[in-house]
Amino acid sequence: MPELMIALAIAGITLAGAFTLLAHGRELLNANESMTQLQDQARHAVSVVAQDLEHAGSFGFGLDPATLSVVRDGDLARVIAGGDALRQDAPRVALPSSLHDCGGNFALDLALAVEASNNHFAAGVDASRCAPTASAGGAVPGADTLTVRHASGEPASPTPGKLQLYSRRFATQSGQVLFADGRAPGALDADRRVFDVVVRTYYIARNSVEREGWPALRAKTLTAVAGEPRFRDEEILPGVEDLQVQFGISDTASDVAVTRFVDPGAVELRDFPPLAVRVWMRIRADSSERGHRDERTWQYADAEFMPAAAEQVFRRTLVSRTVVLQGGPRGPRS
Amino acid sequence: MRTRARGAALIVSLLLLALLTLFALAAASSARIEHTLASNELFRENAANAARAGIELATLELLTMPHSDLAVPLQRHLTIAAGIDCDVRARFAGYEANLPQDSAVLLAGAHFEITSTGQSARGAREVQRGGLMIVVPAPAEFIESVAAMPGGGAAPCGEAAGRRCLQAGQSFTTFWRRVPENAASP
Repeated sequence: MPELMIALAIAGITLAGAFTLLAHGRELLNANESMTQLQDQARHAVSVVAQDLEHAGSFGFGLDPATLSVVRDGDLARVIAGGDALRQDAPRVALPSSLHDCGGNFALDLALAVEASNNHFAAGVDASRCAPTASAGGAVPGADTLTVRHASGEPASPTPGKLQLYSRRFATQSGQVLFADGRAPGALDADRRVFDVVVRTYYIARNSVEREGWPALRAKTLTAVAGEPRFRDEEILPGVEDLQVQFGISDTASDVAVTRFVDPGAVELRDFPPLAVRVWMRIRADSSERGHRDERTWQYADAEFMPAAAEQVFRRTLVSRTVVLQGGPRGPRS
Repeated sequence: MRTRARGAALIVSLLLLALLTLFALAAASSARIEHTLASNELFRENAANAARAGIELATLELLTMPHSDLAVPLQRHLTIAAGIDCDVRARFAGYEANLPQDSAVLLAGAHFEITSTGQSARGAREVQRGGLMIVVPAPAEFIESVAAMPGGGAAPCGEAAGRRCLQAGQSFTTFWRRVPENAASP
């Protein structure tokens, strides 16, 4: 009898210990799962933007924006506008007005492979119909907006309403051509291809598709709807609370190596084009976590954030990626 | 009673041991899955970086190659580290005329297409394609072929023309893209 009592007592103590361990283990496992899921989301969100950035400035077989022009009716001689007339500070090019929804010539300004607004939502000049879609509930204050321009990775078929690039391998310096009427202005072969022009603006919305008041990363992407150019507003990932951008510039004579990073809108960007882009995203977990309090102050780029009391129960992570932009000359400069 | 209690301690201990073993196995399995996932991500990154290194290698070789050899296809295998390597091919695509220039010698843009396949462990693979244009003195047969063009195959440059003048030796990455696994050659 005493042996059984002792065995039961030891078993009781050991089991109590084991269950305490189990409970702690479960908590740790849940926290671990939450962190893994959060990191997965963060990786996904940043890789979507980074892949876009990696292609920024890559247009078909290559182009010199100074000689880029817009044509119509499938005829290289029917030039609507070209060169500096495609820049955002020039009058709107005579193309369907919906192409200018996010700003005059915003979709055509391929000389700017990347641009961004600092701590507020903004697209192009005089953007009349570019506000975040109604269900998004507006943009999150304090978050940056990032716009990326490039051509599709693979050749495309001419499609009415889509802004497309007719790219000739041996005319990179003498004139690549944009068109939006679905009529390629020349023959198509291995050295002459049509590519879709990709113009995408990333921003942070207040609401996600499934949860009001739950922020989300969204993007406005230039596409075609019913034969007309349109900027389609789509959610990319819920839970992204903030997007911050900085541009890497070289303000020394070497002009190939990044010497420092500046915020969008910095005066230095007028003289030094960006060579690299660094993005930060702050992401919160899908659900609150028992016992977790996020009381730290997050500092990154030019942002500083401390969660309000009600939001401290969510685990967060901050992820950043630096992407070196493609293109540009190497070797001696003229 | 004494007879019935005999051996209970052993049974209880064995049960406890089994329970603790199960906990340990579950924790180890979870850790292993996470490690595998993290490793897969790393291998994908390695393959992408290897592909990128291949493009840089080919670019450097083409930039330092004698002009007479530029038309010869380039094929290289590069081992970056144990289990990380890339195969890179570069082909000459042709010359571009009408470069903005003020050189005494006619310049042309020699175009190359570089395809690089990076590989890493667990079958991680990435294909990248890049375009390169090197500004070179135009070869004789090219000068003949563009002689009838307006400007004789050269475009104006400088402040009046609003365009910078290109010089021999300059090079440009004309395009770069990741190639989907099943994509046809562009």
